[in-house]
Amino acid sequence: MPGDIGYRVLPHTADTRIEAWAPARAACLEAAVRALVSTFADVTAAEATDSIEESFAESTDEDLLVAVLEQVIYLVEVVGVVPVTVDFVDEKAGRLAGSFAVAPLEAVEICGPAPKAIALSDLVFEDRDNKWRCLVTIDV
Amino acid sequence: MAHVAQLELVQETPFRWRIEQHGEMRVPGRVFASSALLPDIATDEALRQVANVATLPGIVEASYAMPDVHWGYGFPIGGVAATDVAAGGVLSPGGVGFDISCGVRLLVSQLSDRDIAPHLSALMDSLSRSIPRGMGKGAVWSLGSADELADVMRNGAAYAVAHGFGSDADLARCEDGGTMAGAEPDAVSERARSRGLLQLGSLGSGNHFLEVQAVDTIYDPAVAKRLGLFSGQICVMIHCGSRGLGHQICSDQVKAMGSAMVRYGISVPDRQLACVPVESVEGRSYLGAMAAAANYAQANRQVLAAAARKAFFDSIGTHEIDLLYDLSHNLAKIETHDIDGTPHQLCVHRKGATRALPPGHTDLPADLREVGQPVLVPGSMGTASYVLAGLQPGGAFFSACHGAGRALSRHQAKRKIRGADLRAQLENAGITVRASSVQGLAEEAPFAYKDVDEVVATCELAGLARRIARLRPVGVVKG
Repeated sequence: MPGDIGYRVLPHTADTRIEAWAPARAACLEAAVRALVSTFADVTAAEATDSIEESFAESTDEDLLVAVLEQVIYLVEVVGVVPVTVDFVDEKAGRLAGSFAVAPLEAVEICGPAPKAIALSDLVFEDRDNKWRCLVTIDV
Repeated sequence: MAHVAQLELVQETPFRWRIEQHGEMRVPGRVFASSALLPDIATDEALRQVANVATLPGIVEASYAMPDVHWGYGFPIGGVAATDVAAGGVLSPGGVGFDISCGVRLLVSQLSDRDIAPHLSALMDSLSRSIPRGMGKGAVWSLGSADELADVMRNGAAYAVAHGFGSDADLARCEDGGTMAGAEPDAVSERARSRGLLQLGSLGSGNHFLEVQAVDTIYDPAVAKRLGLFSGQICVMIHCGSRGLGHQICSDQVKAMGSAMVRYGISVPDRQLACVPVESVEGRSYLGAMAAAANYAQANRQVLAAAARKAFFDSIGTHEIDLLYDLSHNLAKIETHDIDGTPHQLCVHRKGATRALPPGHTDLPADLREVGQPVLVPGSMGTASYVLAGLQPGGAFFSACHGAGRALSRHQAKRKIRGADLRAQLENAGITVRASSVQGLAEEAPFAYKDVDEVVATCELAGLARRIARLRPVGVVKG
């Protein structure tokens, strides 16, 4: 895992698997969102035109990870936007405040199949000595 | 005998292998595979998943794997499992898959490949304009309201036909007559509805496609004739499912069952295998939501077929395009099967597997009862597809394969070829391509899939279904 914060896309026979890591939970979730977006869109040249705020209150870290990534799918499918940058802040009692800076879908270059769901199989979101790491399979 | 990780595979017949029952498994695993297919099957996680499914409460006979089995989540893709309803057998959304009622429909024209050759480019352009696909590209039918969406979820393809998308003759050739009974739109979440509202009549992306195909081999002339198939005939195959609505229902229900399982004393080796007894509040809720998604999927394929028919008329001037059959390959159904000589009500999960009813089965429409249920097997882009038919005694509760099955990851496929090069290769092979994403094209390269000819031949040799006709691609519309 090169660098303190990062992500990569891993092989999976039918779908897509991503890995993300960071020193803190919120930063790891941000990296996971970037990883998910990278599987279907190139946002390097895209400019955000709006910001969408969302708060998450799941009972476990794994469920929080799933909820955050499912929100990306919802934004793409229903709102028609792609997150260009994200900013997450940990709040009390495990809650998370999220800000998604988004660009219209038609303004980004599509480079892969649309993500449609987050699988719970082989889902990992763990903290080992302040090194957060997640592994997620995405149905496409 | 072959060993895969800690799994022991025992060859039962030339085309069937057994995973010995061990640990928490309640039944053995049974894998239908040729010696040529087994190495691919054994290299990913599919066999471990076959063994995991064998731990489900109430499972009977075996946890089955079709010849195109590959790594899924919870269940493998290409898995079949039946649970005994009266014995507390469970229902698992993971045994249906995210894309509830993903399936295939085959339309047949009265035109030959020679007839359309001069018009092919115009036809493909017309189809490309008519078939929404890819991300955020809209849909054929803009539903006006949540009530209209609920009507689609209740009535499926029949609702589409009532609104001008096709005819009653189409419904006679749909599994369940185009409407799966027991749909409960109220069991579908608001988020799922919001995803479904915008996508009725769209292909999506990934491995979904619309293909113009030509019949290139007929294996059983008598049955082919009964099905209206002839050599060189132009057909249209549509492969897609319940879009975001079905995916959201699966996500919602897996989470709900994951919380409820403990009340029923159930634990599973994989969260995606979350399950509850069929005869429970949560089980009935899932069946109602699943049927709603299945109806949405059937309506989706019905609407796309109407758009394809219009494209044929606009470019070639023909209206004569009949539906041969429409089926789902991701579904759970309550069916009656004999277990040890006694009829039992079973919940049969087919995930990436196709129901394959034999000749004479009472669930078949009268005009198909003599020939058996058509089993539509889409190949990968650029390779053949097949029409099979169910047979007696069949296997795995009358089930057969659903496609070629992936062998390489999307990642690996993209490393091997660029989308533009693949498009050129396909065009050189006489296959016209209309793709919404050239990069996405590479992920679906033919070499990323198993050999569909081998998969289908194995199905036949294993006694699951028999070959009727082979179709070769002429034009591909992909998301």
